[in-house]
Amino acid sequence: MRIKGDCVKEFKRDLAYHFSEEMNHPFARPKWVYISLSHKCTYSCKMCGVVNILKGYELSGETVVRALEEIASWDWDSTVVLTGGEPFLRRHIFDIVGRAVSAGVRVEAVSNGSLIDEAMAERIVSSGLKNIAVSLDGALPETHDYFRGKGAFDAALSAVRNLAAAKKRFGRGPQISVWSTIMKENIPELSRIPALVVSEGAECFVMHPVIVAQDDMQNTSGSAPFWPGEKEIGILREQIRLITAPGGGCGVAAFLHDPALWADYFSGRLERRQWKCNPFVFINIGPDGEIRSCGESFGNIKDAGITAALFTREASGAREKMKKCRKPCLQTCWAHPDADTISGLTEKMIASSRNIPGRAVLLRECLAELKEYKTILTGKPAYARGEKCSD
Amino acid sequence: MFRLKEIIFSVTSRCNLKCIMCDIPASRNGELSTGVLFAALEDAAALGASTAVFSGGEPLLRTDIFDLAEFARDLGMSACLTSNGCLIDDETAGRIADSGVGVVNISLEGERQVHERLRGPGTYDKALQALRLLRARGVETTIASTVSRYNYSSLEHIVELAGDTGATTLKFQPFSRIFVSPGRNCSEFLLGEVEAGIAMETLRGIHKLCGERGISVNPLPYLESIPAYLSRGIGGSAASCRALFSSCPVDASGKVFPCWVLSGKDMLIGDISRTPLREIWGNIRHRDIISRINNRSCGGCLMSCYDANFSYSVAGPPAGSSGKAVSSVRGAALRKLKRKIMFYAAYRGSLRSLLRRLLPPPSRRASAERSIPGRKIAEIEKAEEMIGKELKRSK
Repeated sequence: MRIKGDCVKEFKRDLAYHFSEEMNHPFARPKWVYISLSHKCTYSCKMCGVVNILKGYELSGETVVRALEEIASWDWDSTVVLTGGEPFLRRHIFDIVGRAVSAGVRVEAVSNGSLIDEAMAERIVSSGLKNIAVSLDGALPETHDYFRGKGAFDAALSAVRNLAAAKKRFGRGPQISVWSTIMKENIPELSRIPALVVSEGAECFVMHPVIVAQDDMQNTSGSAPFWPGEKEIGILREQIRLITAPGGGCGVAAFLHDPALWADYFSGRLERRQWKCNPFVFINIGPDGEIRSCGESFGNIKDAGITAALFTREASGAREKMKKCRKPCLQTCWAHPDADTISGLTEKMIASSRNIPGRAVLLRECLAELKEYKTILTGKPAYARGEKCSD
Repeated sequence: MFRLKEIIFSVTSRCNLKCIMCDIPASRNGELSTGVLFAALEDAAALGASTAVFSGGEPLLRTDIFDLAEFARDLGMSACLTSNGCLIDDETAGRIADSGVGVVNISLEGERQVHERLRGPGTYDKALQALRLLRARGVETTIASTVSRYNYSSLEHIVELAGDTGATTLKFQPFSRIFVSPGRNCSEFLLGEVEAGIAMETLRGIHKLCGERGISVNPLPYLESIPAYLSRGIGGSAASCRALFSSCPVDASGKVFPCWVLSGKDMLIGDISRTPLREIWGNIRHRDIISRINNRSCGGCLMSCYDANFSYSVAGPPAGSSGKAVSSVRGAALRKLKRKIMFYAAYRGSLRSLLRRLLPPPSRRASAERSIPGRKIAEIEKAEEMIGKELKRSK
């Protein structure tokens, strides 16, 4: 059920993202904060180069907890995603999760499943994580193992199974998700993954297209490895049709963006108006502590903290560059272009606030928020001094 | 300080002609692959460049030149082609028009005998034909002339030709040593004192004539310094060179230098076949080289990119150099507009072409409009109205 005031909160956030982007000033806080604890991993997958970058760097538990406390202080419903490498290689990950949960931050984790045996599954389920994503890159063992190494397929599925069993025992626990990277080699079997993972107990299935190389996101030429050719793109269209057909996603397939865009993305025909990345929605913190929205780093959590980094000139420059980027990546941080106009956002808010008792109060609150931005636009550039954000 | 406006590629050093004032084809500099050029164009667009110039050699010898032009156009840049015109038949003119090339710059040196003596037999008619064919397809054409001892007295003929063929702009540039092999004796191209006097009269006459006929031409002070440059070697200095900060020349092998003239080994900023342009432009090495040039000054030149400086001398020093902090975005924008107007007034172009140049290309225009606070306020007011209506209805 919709909680009263939810739509106003959403409207305020959407407006903040909109104006942040338009004016390149952080009125909004990131919705997603990815923290890579270290790049150490149990696998060395063919399509992932991070294990070779920043070898030996590791964020200390104290640093991560400090960042988490800062994120909690934003009061912005931000989600922290613990990634790696393989985050469960860290002995203290559950301490970190525990501290985050007690601070009131929503935490999720991404894993390849190799370390999730029954005991680990129980710890995960009881830790307070809100979502655990296990990577699965094929419906057949050969395909998944081709990317990740022998035995990886069975390990991933048994991880899902263990998690589902532990969740059933405890009667609570995180949402169990499966994430697939769309690549040339696994396109023909994409539509079979949902049924497979549902049978093992997964509750959500997300797909996202491959980025060619982690250190060179802009190289999306046809000759790049894992990049589908014309023939595979044809098959992908068919697979998309199967997954989006009624029952095709087995009730668990979730789409971060219109899957029809994938084929355009791979064939290089995705146009600027079809995609959008709002530089304020997402930040990534590397194992060295460097903060990035995409591409260039603009600060380090070991220095002044995340909020201070968002206000730096470097951050503003990095965001300008992102604005000019012409290579869509369709990753999880990608934002919908329908948040493009204020009237679009207002329409959405009006529609979602229907049938809520005491609606007039909510609408007036929205009006006040709009007025505040109007003052910023008409009056002296208060936003330049960061007044609105010093809350 | 580094605001990239224009990227100039020498896409090939090959040429179908063998002009006597140019030894570029003999340098056999190699060629960049299409992919590298695409990437460089993307980087240039991201760095804010609004113009991509494809020069050579003869750029039309490259089979992918139309793809390059189209790519530049899709990135929102205006593409410009520099050619001798000999390879432009009706079909090629059509392809040039289709690929979205904004301006084609055809070289013409003067009357038939002068032109053909410099460039080879049969080239004159072909160049004129190219100008007409392009015009018929609606492509803007400009004429470029290298002023030297061979043609200083027959330059007025070019104004007539521009009128006949519908070319919008004349670009004069004195002969320069950078186009010939090092060590070659260039005295055949240089002017004596008397010849310099005649050249001065001719160039002044041309400026006046162009003004009367509505043809754009280099600013008068620039034209007036050409004779002295050719007779005594006095050229402009780096201290006032705007092109040094805004234009990025890339030679046929991908090397990036601060300018076409300063292309010694110690001036090499980078190589786009090895490093992406975005990492070359404005990097530490680039800044270091520019500050070195500014400290020591350069040998001076009068390349056509230098003519932009004269407009600044008309409009006063550019904003920021006066030491005052920029007080507001609006003020800076106004000053920029004023500078642009003064710059184009110096060219005395027709009002229509003036307006076309002043307005940014459509894609840029859209993003500029989006950033105007007034537009945002209008949007907010619309949203307020929507909520107001909804409020009334719920009552």
